[in-house]
Amino acid sequence: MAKLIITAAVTGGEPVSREMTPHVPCSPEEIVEETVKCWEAGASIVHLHAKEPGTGRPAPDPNPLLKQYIEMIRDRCDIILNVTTGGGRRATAEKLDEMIRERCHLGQEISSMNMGSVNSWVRPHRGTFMNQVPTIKRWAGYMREAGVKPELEIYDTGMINTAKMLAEEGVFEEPVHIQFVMIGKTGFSPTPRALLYCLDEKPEGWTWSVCALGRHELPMGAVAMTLGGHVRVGFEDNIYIRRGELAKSNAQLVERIVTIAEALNIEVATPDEARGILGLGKG
Amino acid sequence: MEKLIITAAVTGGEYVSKETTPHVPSTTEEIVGEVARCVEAGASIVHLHAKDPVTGEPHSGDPNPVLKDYVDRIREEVDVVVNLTTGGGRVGNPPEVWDELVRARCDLGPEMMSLNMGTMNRWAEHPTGKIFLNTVDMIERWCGYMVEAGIKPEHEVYDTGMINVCRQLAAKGIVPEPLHVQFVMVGRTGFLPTPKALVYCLDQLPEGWTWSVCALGRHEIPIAAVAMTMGGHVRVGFEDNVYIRYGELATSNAQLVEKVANIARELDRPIATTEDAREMLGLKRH
Repeated sequence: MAKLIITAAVTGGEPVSREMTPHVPCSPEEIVEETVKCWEAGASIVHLHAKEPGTGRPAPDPNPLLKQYIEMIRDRCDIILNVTTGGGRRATAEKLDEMIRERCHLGQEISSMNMGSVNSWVRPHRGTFMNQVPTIKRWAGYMREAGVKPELEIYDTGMINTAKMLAEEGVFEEPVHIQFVMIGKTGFSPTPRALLYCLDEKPEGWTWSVCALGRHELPMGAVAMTLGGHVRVGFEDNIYIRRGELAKSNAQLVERIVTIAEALNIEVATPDEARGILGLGKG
Repeated sequence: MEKLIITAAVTGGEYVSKETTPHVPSTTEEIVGEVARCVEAGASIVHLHAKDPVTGEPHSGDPNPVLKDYVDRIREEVDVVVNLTTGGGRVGNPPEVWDELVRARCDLGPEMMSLNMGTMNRWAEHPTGKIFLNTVDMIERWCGYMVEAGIKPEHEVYDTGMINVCRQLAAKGIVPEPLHVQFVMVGRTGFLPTPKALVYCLDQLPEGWTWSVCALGRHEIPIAAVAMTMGGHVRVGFEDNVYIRYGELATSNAQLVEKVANIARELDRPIATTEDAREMLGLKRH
């Protein structure tokens, strides 16, 4: 079995702020410290959103902050940097496009992108999480230009079809790397059965990872690793270490996944091993 | 096995016009005639969109007067469950207007109305753009209008997450159970028109809900056959498929109804009359 790539989504993404957990890192220093702790615990990728220092809310102008995180992390460890294409969505379509194009050049090796539109109950999308096919194509082009590997975020089965059709059109270079974001509610359910269905639809040779929300995070992580998949954990998806008890650090969640992997005799990938598995260039 | 409810989606919906097939009914007379033929062939529900009488394109203005005309004329000629779309009238209008159109449409006398259970990307070109927008707020509000008017919603599901949405509508008490779900197997940006996808979806569906399947193009008839062996109902018609077999246009929606009715007969699955369908779906006669 291939070694396990653990992604730490440390910043809480868009929904998680200080109001939800006092432990979410918000300032650049906190985010960098948290990243280093996760790296020490076994994470080989860190997934980053830009946060407003102090509140932990999404930062209105993400790029300068993301650039700062990346430079500071680079000074501390060799973890793979994966930057969201989320954030800054209040801007006009043209401005957002420009922002994403610029964001492909911050020195990351991976950027995540959503493979479709879906309703949302979560702030700040006001009901709908829009990711149209023409936008996906354009942003994939920016990533190609910049030598950044896209991580295709999949929220329901039709988005696998979308990814396959776009790969056939040459929008993505194969093998593609996908992240099943098992949010339930308006997306597919965070269940082993849903995952098995998705894996049957996934082309041979594509690498894949799973993240699931809340109490589903660790069980679905365990299921995914037994099936040869990779795993994402962190405050973006789940803030509890066990029922009713907030995790004090993202690293606790990484440690849990490492412990499960060790018990299953699944080796955890170093950042360089993860680069090999995902076919990444140099950082 | 339970009787089979066949829905005929005769008008070609939003994508099929006279350019796609000369056989798509477009005037009120053509649509009413086509409905009568489909009922004779075994359909118990008709699903209607408003059409431009000449081109067969979606009607460009307020669809409600056109739909009212269809409903009134159908009621005079044939006993069938009328199922109106909540689509149409979106081009050039803000969502508040869509809301008003749907609310007013509830008063036209349909027994059912279809309603999309989520937002998704469109692969095909469409005048409203690349997003098929159906927010949770719209869904909840429109279900409310229907329930208030005594209309049974047909919950159109395009991918697995939309089953979760249906379950939440039931859990919140917005729509009384059992719900009726239409799996619209469009492929591309939605779930695939495959038996495996259907089996997965049925495992997610609460006990006691009724369900139907429609699939696009060459998948229409095979997936209908699969659905009817599993106790589901089927929708056929030009909205989903214009061919009777490879390379040969169907000359009437009724041919497609006959085709699935024949398969049902061979499988010893009795075909529901309009009255049967009303009883099975718990519809209020209007």
